[in-house]
Amino acid sequence: MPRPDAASLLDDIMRSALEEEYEQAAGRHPEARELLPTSRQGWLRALPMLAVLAVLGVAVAASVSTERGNAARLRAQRPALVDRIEQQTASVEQLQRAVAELRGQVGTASRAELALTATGRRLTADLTTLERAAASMPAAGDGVRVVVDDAPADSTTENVRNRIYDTDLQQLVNGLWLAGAEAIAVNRQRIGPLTAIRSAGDAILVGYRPLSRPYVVEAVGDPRTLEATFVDGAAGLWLRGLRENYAIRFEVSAGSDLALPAAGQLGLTLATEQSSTGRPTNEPTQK
Amino acid sequence: MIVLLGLLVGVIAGLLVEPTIPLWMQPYLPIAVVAALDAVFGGLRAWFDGIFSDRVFVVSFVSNALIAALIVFLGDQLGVGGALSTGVVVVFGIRIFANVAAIRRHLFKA
Repeated sequence: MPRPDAASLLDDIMRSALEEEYEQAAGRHPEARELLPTSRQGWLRALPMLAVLAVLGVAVAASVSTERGNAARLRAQRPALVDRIEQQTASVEQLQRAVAELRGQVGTASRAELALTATGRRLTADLTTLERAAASMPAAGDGVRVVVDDAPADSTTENVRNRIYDTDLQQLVNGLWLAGAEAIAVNRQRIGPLTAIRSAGDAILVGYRPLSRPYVVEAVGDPRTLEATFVDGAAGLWLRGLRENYAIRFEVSAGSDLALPAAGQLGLTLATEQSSTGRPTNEPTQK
Repeated sequence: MIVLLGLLVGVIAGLLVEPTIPLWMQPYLPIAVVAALDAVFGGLRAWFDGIFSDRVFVVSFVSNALIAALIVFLGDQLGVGGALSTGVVVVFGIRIFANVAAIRRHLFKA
């Protein structure tokens, strides 16, 4: 009784690898086992075999050449695709620069407009506070520069490369905020209140844009206290631990005259309807 | 001997003509080739066993190739994707291994 499981199925395939018919037909065509047919009749008998084998040969050759052709075509298409990706990335960057410039112009224009009235001047002060908090204005000043990077390739342990993860960068940025940073950018990408630091596959994304190594974090803040508070804080401890135990690169240096760009697009998520008296109504409308 | 002769003629013809496989045939031909290779190795083993029969060889060759292509076609039509082709490749792969192992025992007595 054969076992009714997968192993017996495989056994069956192994055992029946030779067509049973060969055994049944054994001895009936002894002339078919000769190396080459000796008679004209023998050649005629071998004709079907010759034909199917020739078909197989053609099929093998055709399969191989088609596969080679496909591979070559894919290889040929690759540079064009890479070109297109680079072009599109460049044009996205150009558009983002244009957006930033236009936003700056809108800001200047609205400030000029607001400066005309007393209410406007009060609003300007509010606006500046809010814009600083939303990281929608470029920031400049002294601060610190923190460089972190994966461990060098030769310091691998158990074939695992010691890498910086998104959580490490999150710790770093939060540590800088705690230490009193006013504005932070990672690889020239400004961190706003809604900027996410997370990973997708092997890459770390900041504001949905992938970073390339090494990770340079710049923070504007009081240069007398920022560096010391950060290094002694929880994030500093975390990263020093990574450096000592996993050979992660972690360098902190003072940065002077840092210029951080504005954060990416600010979408309108909350709006209040103005009543006729110019005061906001009590019910904000969430978009 | 005649096996090699036939194969050689086919491969040379195929390389000289360089036929491009029509698109509708592309998913089926490689599987059919694997099935046909199984028949060839089966025949070679039977020849070493001394029980080769050209009739059995031709019939098993043609039916193997046709059934393999048919299964792939059926899988395409049923929408199970490559699952059935994988099954075909696994079964014929095992059979080819078993037959080649038997041939090897004949050739090297090991």
